[in-house]
Amino acid sequence: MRAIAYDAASIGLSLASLLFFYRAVEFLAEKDYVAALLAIGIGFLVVRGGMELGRLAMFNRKDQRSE
Amino acid sequence: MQSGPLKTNNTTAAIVVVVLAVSLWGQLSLMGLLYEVRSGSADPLNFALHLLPIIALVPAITTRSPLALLLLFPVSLLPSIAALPELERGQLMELWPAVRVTGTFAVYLALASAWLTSVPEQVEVEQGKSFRGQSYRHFVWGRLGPLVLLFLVPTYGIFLDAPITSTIEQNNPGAESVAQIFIAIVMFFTWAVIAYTTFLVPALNLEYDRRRIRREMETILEEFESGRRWMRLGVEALVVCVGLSVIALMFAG
Repeated sequence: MRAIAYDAASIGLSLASLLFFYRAVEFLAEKDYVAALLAIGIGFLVVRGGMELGRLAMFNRKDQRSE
Repeated sequence: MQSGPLKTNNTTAAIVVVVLAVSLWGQLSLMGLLYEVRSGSADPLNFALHLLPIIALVPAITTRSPLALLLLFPVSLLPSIAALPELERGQLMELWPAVRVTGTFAVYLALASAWLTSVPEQVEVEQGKSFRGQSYRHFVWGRLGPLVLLFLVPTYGIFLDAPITSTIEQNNPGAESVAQIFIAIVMFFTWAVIAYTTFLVPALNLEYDRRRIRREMETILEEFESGRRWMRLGVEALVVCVGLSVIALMFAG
């Protein structure tokens, strides 16, 4: 159950990061490079968080199976 | 101990990585640097921006740091691209130069990652064989979808989304396609770094990470049992509460 929650949060965060990258494209279109860089940075951190949760989900699943 | 041929291969890989990185810098920043040198009134800031990737590359190669090689060096190229004069940037954003740059960047990422993981990871991969099962496939396939979307959605935004394309047209009259390719290259760079650092590397080191996290969790559990962790948790909770209160007061004020 915990693995499913981690997995859902992981995929949710990865999809949420799309918003930041989309905003980054909008900022780049407006030639607002600083804002674009900030949006890319935040998006990167959100993806990274999602990926860490995904790994936790997998380790959790693996540990449950080995117990 | 490294054997002779392995050490030679590593040196060759390092040289190839350096050559590719310098080639990438040459394709993206050298034109701007030459322009600054040739024009009598060189802007010191632009000059520094064009040299920034080389300054970032030297410690990255000497320390063999994954963060520096795969993230800081590619990111240091972006200000240099932004500082290019309009004409040089226009030449760079034509189809073949753009294809050449993305190709060089892709090969650079692949070889740099292979060089970084060449010796120590051999042991981890062998140890991790038993781990490659259903969980591993679940992780890889589950993350592949968001990764593909991360490439497709910004690309759709750049080329097909009406509000964004009209903004590009307004801000770059007569050079819309050049601006689109410039944004596409920046987003591709970003996507490649994300794909490598948050997908490929974790997928290659799953067994190692599982053991590391288990060790860390055991340490944290011991700290909780001995009471040390509770004190740290209290201090952290206090800091978070104070931070949240400050933000709330800012909005209230």
